[in-house]
Amino acid sequence: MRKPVNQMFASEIAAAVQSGSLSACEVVEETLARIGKLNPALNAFTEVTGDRARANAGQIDQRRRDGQSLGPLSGVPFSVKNLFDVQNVGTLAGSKINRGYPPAQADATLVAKLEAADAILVGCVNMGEYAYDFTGENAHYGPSRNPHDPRRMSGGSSGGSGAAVASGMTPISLGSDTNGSIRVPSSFCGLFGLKPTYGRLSRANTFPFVSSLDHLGPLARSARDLALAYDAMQGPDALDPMQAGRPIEPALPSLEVGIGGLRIARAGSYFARGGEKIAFDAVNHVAAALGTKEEVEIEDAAMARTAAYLITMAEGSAQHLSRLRESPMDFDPDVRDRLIAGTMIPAAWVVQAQKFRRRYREKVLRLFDKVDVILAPSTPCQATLIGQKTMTLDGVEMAVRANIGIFTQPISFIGLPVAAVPVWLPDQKLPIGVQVIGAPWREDVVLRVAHYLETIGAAAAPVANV
Amino acid sequence: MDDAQHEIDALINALAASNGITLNEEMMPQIRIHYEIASRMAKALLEFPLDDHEEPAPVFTA
Repeated sequence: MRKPVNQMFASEIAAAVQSGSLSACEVVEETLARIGKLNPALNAFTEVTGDRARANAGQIDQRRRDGQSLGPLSGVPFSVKNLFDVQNVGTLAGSKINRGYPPAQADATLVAKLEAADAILVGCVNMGEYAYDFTGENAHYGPSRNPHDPRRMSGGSSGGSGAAVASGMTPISLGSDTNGSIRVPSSFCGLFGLKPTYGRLSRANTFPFVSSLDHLGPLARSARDLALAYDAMQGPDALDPMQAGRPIEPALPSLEVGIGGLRIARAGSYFARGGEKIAFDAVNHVAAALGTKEEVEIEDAAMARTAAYLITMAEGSAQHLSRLRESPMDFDPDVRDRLIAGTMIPAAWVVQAQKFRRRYREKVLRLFDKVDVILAPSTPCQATLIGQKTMTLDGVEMAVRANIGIFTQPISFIGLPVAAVPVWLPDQKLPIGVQVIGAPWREDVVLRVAHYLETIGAAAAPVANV
Repeated sequence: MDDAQHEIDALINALAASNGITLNEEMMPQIRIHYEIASRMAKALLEFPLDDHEEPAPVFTA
């Protein structure tokens, strides 16, 4: 007897559909049933595209019966953060305001690429308003809840993605990450997440937040599933002027190479303080599993976080200025007031931040002469309670919403690729994540390390018992 | 409310009007907090030594 679809990895579903031991239609029906059962409690989905999913599944099964070859993600259900355009669906980006906009005319490039690999879109998922969020809370649609403890945050802003994958509703979900929005829900919900190098994947037909910092990528329950999705989404896209134009560099072929020859170190100083002990215990756990005691210092990381914070405020506010003028009361107040303050930032602050960014990048890239991989915490704590406004870190009380990303911001600020890996420490009922950080364009390396950690049992993403 | 807060509120009101944004009293405390956080962060950033030839990275390639 086969496993239920919700317990299967994407790689297992694809293999079963390709072999004919499982039909894409069966996969879709089980998936839609699970969404129908769990979503009322977890609030992950804002739109279920059941008709589209059933039609695509039927075509995939027909092509298999006709003897045609199927794609690498055959029959794999996936969801997308609701800032991805999906044809004939409104692109909410977590907002009430966007409900007044016409439905999308075409799919986002990454949605089209996954479907070209025979994955099946089953719906759009909840997120923090306009992606300005680390909590997964949403004033309009309610919070997406953490499947490992529904009283707790899923993490944001790709909170619906975290809830959908951790609960087994979909094995893959696409999110976005401007300052940590893939890595934070991966940490809180206990998932593998990939934030690729800035400029690697097309952002075409997704609702933007901060052009200087926006990335897109997958969340999944295994490194292999991340690699499958990532490889299918690579490639140049004329619709995205910010894409870097890299050739397709697949990660899957080297996934099982192991860590031999890799120079690995943990990040010290800034990344070794300012969080709860468990955040650093998780890094120690991963470092021990990888057999490293080396440490490197990412100089000026605190300033990098500052610069990322200011660029985000200024660019995000410019993005939303017309909406702030026309309908300020239709925003989530927590998001609106930060955006309004952002409209008041002098240009000199932003230019200084962008100049610092280049300087910081040069310094950090020199570290990769000595190491291939750097380890750092993903979040300063495990998932906090929904509605919690403050937390105490290192004896200092601070706002939850603004500070969950203290360890992710200095890394995405210069676009480095990161695989977030989930760690379950002994006697813990909640997971916490560790960032496996690579040099630009070395997604293959960070995924290799993530896969190795999974293989030896040092990282794992079990489906939540919901 | 002290003089410094009055000054910040006056600045916020002036810039909001300049940007065409209508504020109400309920918004002011949070906007003030966010502006003050950004201002403190900017002070540190502006003190970071960068010379005249440093290029910004607005269109960024990693």
